[in-house]
Amino acid sequence: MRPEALKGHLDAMLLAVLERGPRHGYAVIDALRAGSGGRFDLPTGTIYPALHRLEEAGLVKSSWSVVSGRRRRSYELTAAGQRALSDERVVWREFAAGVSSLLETP
Amino acid sequence: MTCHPVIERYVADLSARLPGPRRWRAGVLDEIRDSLIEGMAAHRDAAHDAAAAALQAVGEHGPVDQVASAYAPEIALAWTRRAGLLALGIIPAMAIVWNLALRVGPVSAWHPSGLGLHVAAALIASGVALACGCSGTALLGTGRLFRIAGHQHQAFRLAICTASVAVTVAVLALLGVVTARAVTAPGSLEWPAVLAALAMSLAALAGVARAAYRCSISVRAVP
Repeated sequence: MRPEALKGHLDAMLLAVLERGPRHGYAVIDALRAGSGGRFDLPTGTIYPALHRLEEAGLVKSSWSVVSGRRRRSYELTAAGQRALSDERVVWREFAAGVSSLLETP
Repeated sequence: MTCHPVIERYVADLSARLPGPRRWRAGVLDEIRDSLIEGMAAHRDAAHDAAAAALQAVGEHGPVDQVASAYAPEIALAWTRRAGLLALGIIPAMAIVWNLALRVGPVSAWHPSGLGLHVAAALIASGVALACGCSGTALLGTGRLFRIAGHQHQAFRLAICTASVAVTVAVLALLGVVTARAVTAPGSLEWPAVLAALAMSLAALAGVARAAYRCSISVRAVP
């Protein structure tokens, strides 16, 4: 799937991945890829700015640790992020139902 | 797993295209390096050798220009905040420095009068007020308090540029007053103190101008 098709949905997908627990950047990307059945093939480098934007918005928080001698940044969902994810799910269901009804009705 | 030269080269290329504050950039590059090493480890079993795994990890990460471009809003935010903080920090510091520098001399030997002094005083006061207002607006607007409103990069850029011009006008007006005093009553000034304040003012102005320039350039790069 082309990256442009994901515009507007990436934030919600990142929040959904982090709902399952704190993850470092590559684990977030891996979960995104696995969770979508390999359909979403985004350049992984563009995921980090999105995570930083979510942190700036207070929806996730990050912390640094040292693993195998290198610095690692991990992300987790905040309470505001959990609420935002719930809202996004409602919006998505309505959006998907509307699009499906239009596209799948001959 | 250690960092492969392919990954180091990619990180170095990216570093050259991320014109953000040093500390911010170090964090971003550490995160990317960790991700690439993890990616390389994930591909190590399927790849022929370490170089192939590293190339695959780098390929997945995306072209350097595309990745750097994705950071543009973050860089603009960082420079806007830096410029705003600098302007807000410099104004009180300059007020203290010039107050001390102009009071240590025999002030009573100077008897100012005329419209010029009033104009200069008005310029200093309005310049300081405008610079504080604009810098404060940019800082508040880019801070977490108002994060829900979203970041209006162009508006904050305008605020920072206005603040830097206002600081410059205030300092130039102040220098005009000092020059007038130096010409009409040179004995009323303690010259080492005045020269030290002058040097600090010029350095501060250069710092504000540089920060405003970086803010302006980085905002222009936001897609």
